[in-house]
Amino acid sequence: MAKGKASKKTSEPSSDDNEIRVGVFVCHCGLNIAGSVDVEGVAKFASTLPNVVVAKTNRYCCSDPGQDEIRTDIKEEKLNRVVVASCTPRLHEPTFRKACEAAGLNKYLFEMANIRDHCSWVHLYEKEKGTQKAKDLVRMAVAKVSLLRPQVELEVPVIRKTLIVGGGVAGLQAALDLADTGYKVYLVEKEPSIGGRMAQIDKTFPTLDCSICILAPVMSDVGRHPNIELMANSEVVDVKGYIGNFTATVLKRPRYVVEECKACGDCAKVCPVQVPNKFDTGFAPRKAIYTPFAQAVPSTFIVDMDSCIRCHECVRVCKASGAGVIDLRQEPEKVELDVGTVIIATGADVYDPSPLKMYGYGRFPNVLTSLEFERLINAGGPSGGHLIRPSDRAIPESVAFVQCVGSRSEKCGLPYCSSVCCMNSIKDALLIKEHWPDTKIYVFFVDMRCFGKGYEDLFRRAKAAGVIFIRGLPAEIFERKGGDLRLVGENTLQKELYQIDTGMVILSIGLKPGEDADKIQRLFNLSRTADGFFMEAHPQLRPVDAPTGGIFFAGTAESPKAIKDSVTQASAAAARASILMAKGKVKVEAITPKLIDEKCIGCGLCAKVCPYNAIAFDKKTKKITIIEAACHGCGTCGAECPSAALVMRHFTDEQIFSQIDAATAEDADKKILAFCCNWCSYAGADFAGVSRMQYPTSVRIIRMMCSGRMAKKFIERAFARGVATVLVSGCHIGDCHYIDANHYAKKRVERFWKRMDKLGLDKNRLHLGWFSAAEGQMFADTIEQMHTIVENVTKEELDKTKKAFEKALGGGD
Amino acid sequence: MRCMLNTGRTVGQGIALEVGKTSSEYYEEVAVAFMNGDDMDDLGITENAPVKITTGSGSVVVRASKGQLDRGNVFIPVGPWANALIGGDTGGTGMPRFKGVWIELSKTEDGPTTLNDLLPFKEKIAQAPDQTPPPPLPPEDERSIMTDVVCPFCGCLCDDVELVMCKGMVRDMEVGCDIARSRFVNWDRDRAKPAVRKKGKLVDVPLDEALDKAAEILKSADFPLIYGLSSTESDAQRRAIELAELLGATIDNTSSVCHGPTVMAAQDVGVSKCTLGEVRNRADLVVYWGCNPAEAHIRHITRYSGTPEGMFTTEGRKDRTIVHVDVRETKTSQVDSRWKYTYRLADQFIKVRQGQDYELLSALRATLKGHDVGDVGGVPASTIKELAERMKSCKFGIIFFGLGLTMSAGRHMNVNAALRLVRDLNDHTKFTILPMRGHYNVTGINTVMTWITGYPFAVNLSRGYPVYNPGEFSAVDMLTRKECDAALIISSDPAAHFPREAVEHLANIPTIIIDPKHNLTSSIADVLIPSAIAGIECEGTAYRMDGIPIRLRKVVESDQLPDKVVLEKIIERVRS
Repeated sequence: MAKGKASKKTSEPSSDDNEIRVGVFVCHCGLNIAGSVDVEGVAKFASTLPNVVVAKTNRYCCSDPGQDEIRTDIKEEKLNRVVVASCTPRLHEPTFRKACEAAGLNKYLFEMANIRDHCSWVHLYEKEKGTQKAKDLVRMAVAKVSLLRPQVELEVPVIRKTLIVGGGVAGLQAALDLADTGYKVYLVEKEPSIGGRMAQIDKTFPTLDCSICILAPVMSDVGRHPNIELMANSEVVDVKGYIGNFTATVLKRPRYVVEECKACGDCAKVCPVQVPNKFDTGFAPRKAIYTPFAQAVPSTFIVDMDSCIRCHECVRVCKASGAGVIDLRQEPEKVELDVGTVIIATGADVYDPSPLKMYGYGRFPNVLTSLEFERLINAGGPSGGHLIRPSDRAIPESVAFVQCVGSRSEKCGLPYCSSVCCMNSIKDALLIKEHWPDTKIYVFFVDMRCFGKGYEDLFRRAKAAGVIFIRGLPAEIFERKGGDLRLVGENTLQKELYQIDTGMVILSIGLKPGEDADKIQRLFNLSRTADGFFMEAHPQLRPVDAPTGGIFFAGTAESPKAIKDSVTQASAAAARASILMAKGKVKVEAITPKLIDEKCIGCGLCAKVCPYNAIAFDKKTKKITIIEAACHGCGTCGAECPSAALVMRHFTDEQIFSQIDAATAEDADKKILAFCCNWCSYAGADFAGVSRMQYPTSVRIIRMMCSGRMAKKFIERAFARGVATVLVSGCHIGDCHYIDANHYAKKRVERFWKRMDKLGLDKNRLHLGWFSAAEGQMFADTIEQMHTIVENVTKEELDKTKKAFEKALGGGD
Repeated sequence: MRCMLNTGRTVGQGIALEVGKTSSEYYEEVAVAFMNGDDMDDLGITENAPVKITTGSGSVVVRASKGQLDRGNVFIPVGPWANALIGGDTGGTGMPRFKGVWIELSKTEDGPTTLNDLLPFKEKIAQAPDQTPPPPLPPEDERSIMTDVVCPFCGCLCDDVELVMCKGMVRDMEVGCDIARSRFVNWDRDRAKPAVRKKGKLVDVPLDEALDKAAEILKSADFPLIYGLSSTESDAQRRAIELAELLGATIDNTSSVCHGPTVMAAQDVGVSKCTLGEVRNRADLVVYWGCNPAEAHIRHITRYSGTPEGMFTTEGRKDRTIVHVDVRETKTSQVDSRWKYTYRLADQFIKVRQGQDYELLSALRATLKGHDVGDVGGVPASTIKELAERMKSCKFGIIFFGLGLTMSAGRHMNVNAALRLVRDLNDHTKFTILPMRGHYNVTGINTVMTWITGYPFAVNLSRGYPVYNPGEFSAVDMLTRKECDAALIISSDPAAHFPREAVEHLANIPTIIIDPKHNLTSSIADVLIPSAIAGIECEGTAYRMDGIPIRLRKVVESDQLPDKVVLEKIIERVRS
């Protein structure tokens, strides 16, 4: 915690004397920054800034020697503030903070200037302007760092229990790893049985193992493990809390059969109702009381109440047999689970090819999807593993596979490669060849992607077995008399048209984000990439961590992947979760508010806007109490406080003012000042950088944790300083990482627009934009649009605005 | 939008009516029109939006709901809302057109039609959610199980019901369907008290006063009607006939609006019948025609026609083929849109065009005789041929038919065709046919009336001897033509199930109702006489749908008088 009280303009550093000594380290990042920014010039400029005593460049600040240099300088040059101008703080802030700590400097006295993702990469061809922007960014960082104060982080315990959402192979692996380590695991699965997609598949590639044979032992291990509490047919409906201390509410839907069920199946025998079995992709029916497949875990039967006609015959025979385990009166039940970590293993869905009319799926009975084919060829499936085609139940003499159905296609809205379909088709082709060697098999492809261990071998085996691979997807499939299908298209290797008749066509469908990905995203405050899969904290270095602390990903929820990769990722997620739980405690970032009692007027507004009820307001005494452990540090309270009685640590009014002032020190009238939230819009701007999306250099970004921190005084200050336009941005409404704090940003901006209207100002100069972490292009486009406003804003307008808000120039915390 | 309306029973309607017809549960279940999703889009309405339905007989506003129906078809569960759209014309059969009615659908801003708008109530009734919480299950050691109870709800008359009892009260059901459960568990809800309408208001009176008033009304009437009787036991039915004879009244029962046409067809053709026991032990081909056992006769399939293992059907369901012929997919059968197989109860679903059952049945007969008929009633020739072949080649076949035949255009002639088809089939194999009777003792009243008067329904006794004439002496016709000047309703609810024209006359004449519970007819009646529920509070005999008499059991103690005693007391008063 900060020593001494925060008071106006007297930020006393805790180090030896009162002198602020800032060290600025400008990173080349190889040529990533140096390629389009004059790094030396930036360093030289930094040395002229107030309080700066050291300004250096380094090829790679994050490398060992780079960090060494920082550590040495802190000691030798007696630095008490450090600025690193390099990449995004979302990547390397923890690295440099550690380096500072190692040299004995409080890590909250460090600040980053993002001159790579927000500068060099997005202004690749404007070296001069880019360099000017980099200088501004460093100036802003130096201004802020001078006002930073050392902080002590609150340490909270980590509950040594994990919630795993999704019981596919990834969820199962993670559950077993954690449970074997000794942690309690709650495994929540929405379907009646665990097993997921892998349970539906016949054989795995590249080894052609029987899928359920290798999965079933894992499933039963999970079912019997003393440390795993399996909650099938259940769903997470609410999540509260933070890293180490989540409370999840799970809705256990009734099975109508109690656990003691011995799965004898007498009930299903007498049940008069048959309905299509979802597990068998509707290919075969099941009863209204059923177990989805023979190896299901839990093996307890379940009643599908939507299909049940309530004849109670199952109850009667079950009672007559002496078991009496069916209870049709069961009601849904909600349970609350306290867990320290969460693993999201919700999996993916398959693409429904019905919209692709040219393939005739749904119209021609002999056009199947690859998942339907898996059930068909599966010995446990409806046809007992016999390759029969639906129209006449005959064995087809030839089979065609069509690749990339719903993958790598803008038309289907799924532009990415689903990564498993090529190998899956090769495997399926070999399976057919194995049992019916005379079957003629064609695979129509765009590219065969056989990139993994043993994949190429399998591909070669298929070719040797006589499978014919033709480059060029069919343009259209026609049905012929008798149910045969004619595929017409172009062989792009031989540059000739083909017209091939087959008995059956299998559409190799791609994977798409799970249908409840939306719900999961909201529940756990996650982000998703443009393809709809969950976004990891960093694609290379933290591939299984969610941006939200304490949450990890496993399996296809994060991206399409094969079983082996899912299992690997699951073990990684389990290991990452164990690290937190083994430590048993975690430090919460010191960004919570501090109350200045004498300034508080007891209005209670802060308590009203807090999304986490972390501020208790006593109506009688008009006093507030901050519950630090519950606070997530969004800063909405600080922005709402009319008397500046709440100081948002590390994001104080004064610090933000200093950034505004620094950004507008030169050519304010040519600039866009953007306020971005850490989770979505700042990350979106980072994404624009990583993707090298070019946009005008006029923007200067100020990071805050949440757009809820956006107080009107910041906008006033920016306009008073003569800035041309202001962008307030955050997560999309409904996606806020602080439940709904971004609503307040919206409200405040709307109010500000009204005010600008009244004052006769052009309200287009204040822009409100929502960008997700994946919407880099949208961010770039918005800056482009706003830049045209910058170019057209008149001097009179600017002067008028400056005058209207001139009062805002004084003040601070 | 012009559409075709069908009405019929649903499980929800069956359960809710036991909760009470003024409950909002009942309203939720019956004031709804199920229709095709594309039709809803065309009309521009969403799920649960109000929709206005108009016919020549009236118009109602109900909520719309998406159902598995073909375009141009609408389904409304039986109840006052459906009946407001049905005319009183029975075409001389006693049976109004409950199925296959042309209607006009339109989007509306109006609020939904309430019960009070629909029926000519003498006092406005309050429609409220049922507040009574279900009784908590008593602790395990206080429970006892009563076995082999007979369920007095539908024509299946299940005699293996097991009830959970506590201190002489029914608390729950262990074996039996959900409708039966609702009937037993709610047996003491919404019970009627003796009352007489004075100055337009129903006033609670001692039972004797109500009986006196009833006798006085009946005695002073010139042309009274006695109606109902399908939900009471056979001794009471006998007394009702005795009273009718005494008064020179017309006596009709609910079969005139369910299987009256069946009876008429049987009189014409004769029936090849069997018992349900024979079905269970022998039938290897079961055809459900125009009925929905999954919702109306829930345990029919598990006790007789589908899953049970019998003497010659040792493999149970595997030994039987079930074919379902109907105008729409219901819970009895649906067809998988992708793989084209029938699921739910039946093995094969054959969709016949609305109102073309007669044609299809005749086509089957022609096919049996070796004629090539082509596509008939929307059914492909190949399917007709296949079904005819299947019927010919089975060892023991049975057709169970429902109101889909008796209520749609053609009425008794549809049944006539079905009976003739079965007669023809007996040239090839053993084939039988049974109607799916609704109320638990509607078969009983047909039987009792037949062995006393010679005729099963619609009998007039004013000349001192019985005269039978459906269309003349059937209740709907007499009421619609405003012929009767007093009515005695026994354990039935015509206000809920008759066309509105008929109900209006019922409200205008002095009406007496003998019923254990409040129902919609009690809201328009002048004398209410409560009675014991047969099969729960008193014993009696009832006839299963196949004509087998079964003794009903008394399950709970009650001080209510059985219908039989009530009627005896009225007879006594009429005589004196």
